[in-house]
This record gives sequence, structure tokens and C-alpha cells, in this order.
Amino acid sequence: MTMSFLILAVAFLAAGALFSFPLSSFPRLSRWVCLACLTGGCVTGLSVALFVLAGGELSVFRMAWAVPLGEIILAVDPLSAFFLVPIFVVGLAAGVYGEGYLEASRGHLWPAYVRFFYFLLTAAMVAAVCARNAVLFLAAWEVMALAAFFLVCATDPQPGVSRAGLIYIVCMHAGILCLFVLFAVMGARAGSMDFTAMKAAMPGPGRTLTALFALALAGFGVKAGFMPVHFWLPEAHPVAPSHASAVLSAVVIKMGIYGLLRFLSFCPSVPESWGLVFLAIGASSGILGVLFALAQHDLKRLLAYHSIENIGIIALGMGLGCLGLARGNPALATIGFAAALLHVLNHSLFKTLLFLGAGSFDQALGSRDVEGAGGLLRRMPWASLFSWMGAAAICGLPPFNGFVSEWLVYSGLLGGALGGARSAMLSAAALALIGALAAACFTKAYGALTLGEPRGTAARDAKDPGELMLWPMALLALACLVVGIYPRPFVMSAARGAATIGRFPPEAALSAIADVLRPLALIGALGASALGLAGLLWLWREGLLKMREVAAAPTWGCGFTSPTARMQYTASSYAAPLARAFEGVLRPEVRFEAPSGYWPARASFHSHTPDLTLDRALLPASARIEKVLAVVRRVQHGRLQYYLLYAFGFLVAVLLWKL
Amino acid sequence: MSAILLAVCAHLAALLIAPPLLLGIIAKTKAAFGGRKGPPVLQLYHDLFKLMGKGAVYSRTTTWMFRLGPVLSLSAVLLAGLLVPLVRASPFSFTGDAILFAYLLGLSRFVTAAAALDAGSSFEGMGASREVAFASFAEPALILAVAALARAKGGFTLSVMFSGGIWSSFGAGLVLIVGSLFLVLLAENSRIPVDDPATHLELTMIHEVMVLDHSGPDLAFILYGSSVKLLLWSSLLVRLILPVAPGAGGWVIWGLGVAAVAVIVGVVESSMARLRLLRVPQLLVAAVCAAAFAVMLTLK
Repeated sequence: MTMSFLILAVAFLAAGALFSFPLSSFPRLSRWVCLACLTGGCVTGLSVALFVLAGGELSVFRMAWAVPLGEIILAVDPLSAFFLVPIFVVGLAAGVYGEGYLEASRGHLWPAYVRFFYFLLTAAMVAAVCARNAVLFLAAWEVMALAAFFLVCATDPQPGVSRAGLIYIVCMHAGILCLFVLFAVMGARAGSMDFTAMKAAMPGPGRTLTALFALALAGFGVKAGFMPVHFWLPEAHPVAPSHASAVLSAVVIKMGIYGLLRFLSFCPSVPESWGLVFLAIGASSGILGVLFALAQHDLKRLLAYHSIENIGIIALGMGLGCLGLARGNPALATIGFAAALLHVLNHSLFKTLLFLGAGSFDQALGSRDVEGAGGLLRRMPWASLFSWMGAAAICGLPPFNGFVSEWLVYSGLLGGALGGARSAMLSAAALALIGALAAACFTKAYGALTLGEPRGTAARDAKDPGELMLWPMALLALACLVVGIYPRPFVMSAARGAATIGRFPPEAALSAIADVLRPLALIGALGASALGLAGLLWLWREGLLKMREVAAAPTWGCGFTSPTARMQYTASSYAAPLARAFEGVLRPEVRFEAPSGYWPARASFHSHTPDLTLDRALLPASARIEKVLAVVRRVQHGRLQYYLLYAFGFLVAVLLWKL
Repeated sequence: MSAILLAVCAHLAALLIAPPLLLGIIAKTKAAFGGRKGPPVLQLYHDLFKLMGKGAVYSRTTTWMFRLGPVLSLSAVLLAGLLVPLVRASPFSFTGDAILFAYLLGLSRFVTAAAALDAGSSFEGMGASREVAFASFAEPALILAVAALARAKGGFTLSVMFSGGIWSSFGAGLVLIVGSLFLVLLAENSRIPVDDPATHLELTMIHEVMVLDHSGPDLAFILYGSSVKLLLWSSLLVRLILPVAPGAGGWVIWGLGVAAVAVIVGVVESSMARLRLLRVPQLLVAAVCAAAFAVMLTLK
């Protein structure tokens, strides 16, 4: 295994991008070429990543590059390899699904355009994760941001798309500005844009290091979607084509996490305050993310808020890791960073699954609103089954994968290594709240969508999508179960990645993680037995009922004899107790027309929860700034004569000043 | 080897056989307060036996989710029972099992709520909504109590954390934890003042209304599962308060303690009314605060 395999993988992806436009007039051929390039690229790339995670070493790939200060240096260490796994797995699953999705949404999407930017995005992420030169890294980062922008805008004439694209691109460039400064300062200190040189020239504890950390936190945090700079996610994710939303939510935002972890791996010493910062960000992103998700009716917007919640859980793991590094406790550092990395992988699996499911529901219903659906479990059995598995996984329920990484976070927080630090205990309580609220949110969304009776004709006529869209979901659901039941190899790989961040030998990390491997094995076994025991009970019940009378009847209406589908509990009413309890944070806008009189004719209820940062702070602030600056606008009216006059006036002013 | 086997058998036997008795004791206590004779203590065993022999009625709206709810819920609760120490330390305990315990109960709640929504009735939706909402407040209380105990006991397994004997060193904290966990017990097991299992009006129910459409063996699984859950919580509380040592004496103390918890639940139910639904979160936030104060007491 050499680096040439990685180059080959990128070449496959590049070929996919290159072929997409020339072949666009041959739909069948272009589809097969696309699938071939995608499979070739992702399988090759995945084999490289797995080789490194199994303990293999790869040489560094170097090539001259005409860009000033730039050099193409690519390397795969365990940290890069761990991020390559979700890039390639999600890239393949969502890409294959995407072919079915493009086929099904013919007329709305331009296949060549979506394919081109999809390949470009995947290749750029691979380059960003493997780059060891800051110029190359920033170039890949920018290509990634732009390719994602074009994917977000793929359905442009539709309402809301251009606004979402604009918010996205502004956020990305605000972030990238911070990164330019960060790498410029680090590069100037090192005298080279090479990562190895930068690492050697990192400043010791002090003001410079704090400033660099702040820049990294801002620049990468926007990408990751930390509260309060999260607001582009719920705008951009819903409007993109669903397989692109899956990639955005499952891997693109994780690039922000990768950047932060790579930055931490540069730092010779990590102050304890960074750990506390991450714990605070994690708890606030987690709780606010899930609370705002609870208030949404748009399925993809809800999932986008859940990405913020999960990024919060990842940040909790990173906080633990930093505390471990600061206290010179490699075991705690390993558990923290391994938990963060494992949750990166887990979230990418179940979030892709959920977004792919959401895409199928969206196509079947023609709407992303959960309130109008219902009864899809009967009509779209497979898509619904896989989505429920994803929902259980994202709620952190055993025997699925989400539980394993959340358990690792808990065991780091409460396992005693921290000596009962207040921050750790409060974070654990926050994590418990997040988990319980997530369960409320997903029973709400998927209950309204898939259970009960259909509330409209679209839901009544819905059908499962084609095989090309179902198989990726099936495999992702299976992967969630496998990681949950047999977590050992995944935790060990994550520990290797953690060793790279903490700069200790992999053997140290593996021995640190040895303590949690036995509990994890038991957790997997108990989770599997929960399923097994449920199966036995099911068989027992079937056996008992075989000898008895089993009747089918309408649902018990508590005495009311002619119920209709519209009388079912809605998602909004389901979330109401929690929404009311957290009203102070959510501040929903409600339009309510109450029924009145003895024979009420009209009644309506509409609720909307604006985003905390974007709708409550940024947009009003920018509107106010615009109002103030309106005075200045008077001098700008587009007439050339006046502009020439300004130039002349300026020249005269300069002349007078120089006299 | 045989000692371990015996311990496992005793654990399983207590876990599987004892639970329905607790609900009988509660019912008897309530009857005594009401001046009635009340159903026999073993009534639930008869009910379960009868339900297992009955047929079932399924709503035409329901799917496999409705049938999955009772079995997976019971299975999750039983596996959670393997982690909870009864008289001896649990044979399956490991570091961090408290988290698995909490999340297995979460799994049970998740599938029960999903099964309730599957029937497509407003009433069952209402019950599910309330159940998940109240659980969101109960969960942090449990984890904070676990955090405080893990710190006070220096271990992160249920068997170590819930092993009594720290009244002298950590008395005040223990009072707070016991109070907090008792409120969580009432909420998790749908007892007054959070929920009224004996109410006759669907609008005011929480847990009972979620399972309105289940019948026959399904209903038996659900009833049995909730009695197991009550036993697990009672056992945790008893072990926190009383010194339960392995051996025959331990079994007596444990048995009396668990029965006493059931009596106390019965007394609470007889002496107060169910709270208004809007007040329930406040009660549970009080439980969270009590546990948080206990955490603070562990910080020296």
C-alpha cells in the first residue's frame, strides 16, 4: 500500500467530475460512468484509510506546485485516516443514492451540474484532510466551500434557495478570513507554509497561543456549526438536494472539527481553559441545537438543528481531551478525543441515513413538512424502517452506535479521572438532557411522518423509492447496528487518531483505551441481547396468539365514534409541553385564530420559531446598520457626472492638504 | 464457580418473580387508607396469567411498530434489571453501567411512545408527548445523582454507587439524592403526583393512555414491564438507604425495604392528588436541583 492509492482515489473522483458535463447528453452512460468513478474512488480511498488505521504507515507524497509558498504535500496519519473513512463511506452511500434521487427528480435538478460539484466536493475534502501545506489546505478548503455552495444552490429558482446560498457563502468566507490570518501568522513564525515547520514553531503558552486558538476556534467553528455561529446550517441544509444535504451535514461540517483537532495536534501545550471552552460550547450547542430542532416542522431543518446538537456532543469529547492534555493525563485525553472522533464517524453514519430517508419522504410527499404526512410506515415500509433505525441511533439508544460514543463521553466525564470537576458533572447532566430531548424530538418527527393515518392525499399515495436509493440506506442502518454491537475495532481506530492529536505513541493510547474495551464489549453484548430477547418475546406472543382469537378493529376513540385522520395528535402538539417549558429560549411566534361562537367556522394555528442568532440578532442588527447608512447612500446615485465630481473634489482636497 | 451461578440464579429469580408483588402492596396500602379491603396482594399475578391466555385486538391503523413496542420495552427493562444490584452486587456490573441502565430505560420509553403514536389516536399521542417531556426533566436528575454518588463512592458502577453505608460521611448529600431519586421514581413509574394510574379520564392520564390500545399478551408484557421497572428503582433506593449485605439477612432487609418503598408510594398516593400537568416539570426541576446540590456537596 502506497500513497499512489490515495492519488488514484482522487484521480477517480476528478475523472467523475470531468466526465459529468461532456457526457450529459447520454443519461444512461453518464450515470454508469459516475457510479463507476464513485465506487472506484471511494473503495480505493477507503482501503488506504483502513490500512493506516490498522497501524500501517505511508510515506509522504510531495510534488512541486507553481503557486507561491505552495507545495503539494499529502500525507495520511491516523487522524487524517479517521476522517477519510466518513468522507468515503458517506461519499459512496450518498452518491449512489444521489443517482436514484436525480433520476426521480428529473426536471428539477440538472444531473451533470449536481454530479460535477458532488465529485469536486468529495475530492476537495480528501485533499483538505491529507494536505500538509497551508496553501494547499486553504485552496482545498475554498474549493470545498464553493462546491458546497453550488450544491446548496442547485434548486435555485425555488423560494429561499438564493437566500440560503448567500448566508452560507458569507459565513464560509467569514470563517476562511480567520483561517487566512491564522495560517499567515503561523507561517510567518515558521518561515514556511509546511505543517511540519509550523508545528515546530508553535509558540508556548501565552497571549500569542491564545490568539491563535481564538482564530482557529472562529474559523473552524463556523464550519463546524458551533453555537452561536451555527445559523447557516438550518438555512443551507434544507434546500440542497437531499444527498448533498447528507454530505454537508455528515462530513462537510466535520471538516471544522478536523481543522480544530489538527490545530490542537500542533500545540505543544494545551491550557485547561481550552477544555472548559469546549465543554461550554458543547453543552450550549447540544442543548440549544436539540431545543430548536424540537420546534421545527420542516424535517430537513429539524435534522440540521440536530447536526448542531451532535457537534455539541463532539465538542464535549474534545473538551475532555483538552482537559486530559492540560492535566497530563493521557488516558483521559485518549478517551475524550476517541469519543469525539467516534462520534464524528457515528454521526456521519446515522445523519446520512436520516437525510437520505428525508429525501425519499420529500420526494414522495412533495413537501418537507412533517405535519401533513402520517402513515408512511405502511406505504414506504423500507424507507421508514431505516429512518427509525437512524432515529434510534441519533438518540443514543442501545444497541445502536450513537450510544457507544455518548457512553465514552459519559465515562470520561464521570469516570473519576477528572476528580469530580464541576464542569464535568454539569456537562454530564447537559448530555442527559440532550439525550432525553432528542428522543422526544425524534418520536415527534418520525411519529408524525410514519405512524398513524395519512393526513393528506400525498401521504396516502406515497411509495418506497427505487432500489438505488434503498440499498445505501439499508447498508448505513446495518453499519449503525454493527458499530453499536461490536464497537471494539472502531474504538481502537479512534484511539489511534486520538494519539495523533495528543502526540503520544499509539501503544500508549491503546493501553489507555484498554480499560473501556471490556465495558464496551458488554454493552455490545447486552444491546444485542435486548434485540434477541425482544425477538423471543415476539415469538412467544405469536405462539400464544396462534391459539386465540385475534381481531382487527378501529383505534379506540375513547367513546368518539367517527374519528378522522386530522384529529390525530400533530407534531406541534406533541412538542408543546417541552416547547412551553423552554418558551423563554425558543420564543416561538404564534398566529392563532381561535374558534368562536356556537358554530365556529374558521380556526387556524400557525407557529414558527425564528433562529436565535440569525433572526433574533444578526438580521435586525444589519437592518439597523443599513438604516443608519442610508444617509450615506444619498451620495451614491449612479450618475457618472457626480462621481467625476467626487474624484475631482478628492483631488482638490489632496492638493490643498499637500500645500 | 457455583457461588457465582447461584448468585446469578438468585438475581434472576428475584428480578423475574418479585415485581408484581410491589404493585399489589401499593394497591393494598391505598385500599387500607380508603377504608376498603382492596384486591389481594397477588392480584397482578392473576391478571398477568389471565391476560397471557387471552386473544388480542389490534387497531387497523397499527403496524409492526405497535407490536414491537411491548416486547422491546419489556426486553430493555429486563436487561436493565441485569445491571441493577438487588441483594448482592449485580453479576453483570461494569464501569459505566449506570449510563447503560438509564439509556435502556430510555429505549423502553422510546419504543413505547412510538407504539402509542402508531395507533393514530390523539389520546395516545397526548400520553406519549407528556411521557417524553417529563422524562427530559427526570433524566438529568438521575445523571446528576449518579455523578454525585460516583464522586462520593469513588466508583462508576451501580453496584458500588448504590451500596449504602455513607450516612456518616455524606449524610446531607445522601438525603438530597434519596429525595431526588424518589421523585424520579414517582415520575418514571407514572405514580401520583406525576400521573394517576387509577384515573378514569383519558385526558388526564400519561402512561395508562399510551397503552390504551394494547390488549392480551401485549398488555401483560407492558404491565409486567412496569412492575419490573418499579422494582429496579425501589431496589436502588433501598440499597442507598439501608446496609444490604449478601446473605439471608440481606435478603430480609432488602425485601422489607423494597416493600416499604411500595408502602410509601401507596401512602403518597393516598394522601395527595395528582399535580396539574403544568406543575409536573417544576416538581422534576426540583429533583434536578436537589441532585445538583448533592453534586455541590461532593466538591470539597
